[in-house]
Amino acid sequence: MPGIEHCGRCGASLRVASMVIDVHPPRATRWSKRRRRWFPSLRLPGTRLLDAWQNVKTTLLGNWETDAPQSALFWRMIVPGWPQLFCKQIIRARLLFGVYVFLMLLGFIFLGTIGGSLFLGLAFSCHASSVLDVIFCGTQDTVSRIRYSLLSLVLLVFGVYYPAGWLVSWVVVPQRMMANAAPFQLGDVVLYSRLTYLISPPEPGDVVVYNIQRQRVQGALRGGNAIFVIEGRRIDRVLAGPGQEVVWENGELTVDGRISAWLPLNQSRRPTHHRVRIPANTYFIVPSTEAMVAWNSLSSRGMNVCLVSSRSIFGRVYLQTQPLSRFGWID
Amino acid sequence: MTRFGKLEFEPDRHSPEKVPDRENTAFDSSHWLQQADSHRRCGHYENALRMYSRALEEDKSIVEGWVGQVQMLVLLDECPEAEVWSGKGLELFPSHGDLLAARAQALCRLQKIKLANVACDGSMTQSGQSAYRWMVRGELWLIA
Repeated sequence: MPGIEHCGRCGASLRVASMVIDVHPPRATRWSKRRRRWFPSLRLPGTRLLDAWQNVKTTLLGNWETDAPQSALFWRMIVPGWPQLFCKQIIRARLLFGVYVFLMLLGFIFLGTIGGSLFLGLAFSCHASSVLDVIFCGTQDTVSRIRYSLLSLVLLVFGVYYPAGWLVSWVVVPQRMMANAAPFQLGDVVLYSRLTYLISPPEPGDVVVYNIQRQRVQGALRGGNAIFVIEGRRIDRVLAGPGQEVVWENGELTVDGRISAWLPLNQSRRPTHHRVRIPANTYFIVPSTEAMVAWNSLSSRGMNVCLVSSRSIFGRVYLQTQPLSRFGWID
Repeated sequence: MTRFGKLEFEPDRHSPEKVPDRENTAFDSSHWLQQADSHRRCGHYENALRMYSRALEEDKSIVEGWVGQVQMLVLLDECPEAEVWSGKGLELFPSHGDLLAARAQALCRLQKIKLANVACDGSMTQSGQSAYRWMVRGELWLIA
């Protein structure tokens, strides 16, 4: 019939006789033949890589079709790889999910560093790829693809990652050290939780992140008088709670008449003589990581810097993630 | 020959080199296919390949020519080229069993067993019968 270009039975082109095509096959060069003759089992590494890439392309990037309902695919996009698994694309599903989990894990380990941000971004890209893979499977024209892709990515960001990030931020907040503050060093990253102190108040022994309002304290330095300005975020241990009496004597801490088992994080820097009763809603925290202050030289008034309001405590530090050599719980 | 010798007043007047029309009909695609077949049976694979190409120059729709080219490339141990050329043939004749079998043979000799199995299974499901498909299948099973 006029207009038909392919045989309906075998699919052969009916216009082959009139086509302008080359009928001479490609031939191997002389050097290729010699190489194949001398090394019959050797194939060029590039050829192997090319074959592997062709297999990858066919398996992972090739088009696939599904007749699954859109609603069933839509809500499964929350998890990368789940729509592909639902449509029996097992290899794609495993690859997408595996890469996503791996990148999220790396992002968590390096949280608080540039690398961590990079890995989390790549994990989001992997998730977006899973979504786009499904969209490209179900649409053909470019405009629809762009429209559905933008819509899905916006829903992904504001429907999944933003709420998830808000929830996670109550439990996992990275704090990076911006200076050497023994026992921490520049670049160390610790994680703290804001949720802990919504449920119960801080307890003596907790390592916390807190803020010191700008304070000028008088003390001595190298035999002379000195004014120390202390402000900003610190990390240290809560030594006593509201209503308790704290006595420092010869570097030993006594709380309510009993010797305390807790000491500041930097045990080499602690007051020698001090007595105070902790007011309500206040906690006793010695900022021992402050390198400039000689604690044994501060006056009683200067020691007020150790009285921290409960509102200034941000959360409880529980894990150090960077550097990996000192990865571990903080207690 | 005079300066007017080339004028076409009488056909074949001064052109003894011109081949008669009756002889020209022998050099069509079927003739070249026969030549290719005889060369192949003698083991002259290069000549056979050349004859298949001439047959296809006359008529590109002859599937036997495409199959023969791939087979000759395989026999000449140019299997990567045979794989490429079988792909080209399958673009024109997607469901031809012998062409699929030729592709399977090329893939088998390139140690791409999985792809060769796929092509071989495809050739067996197509219509028609030929010993070549079974021969390729046997070769594939021997290798695998």
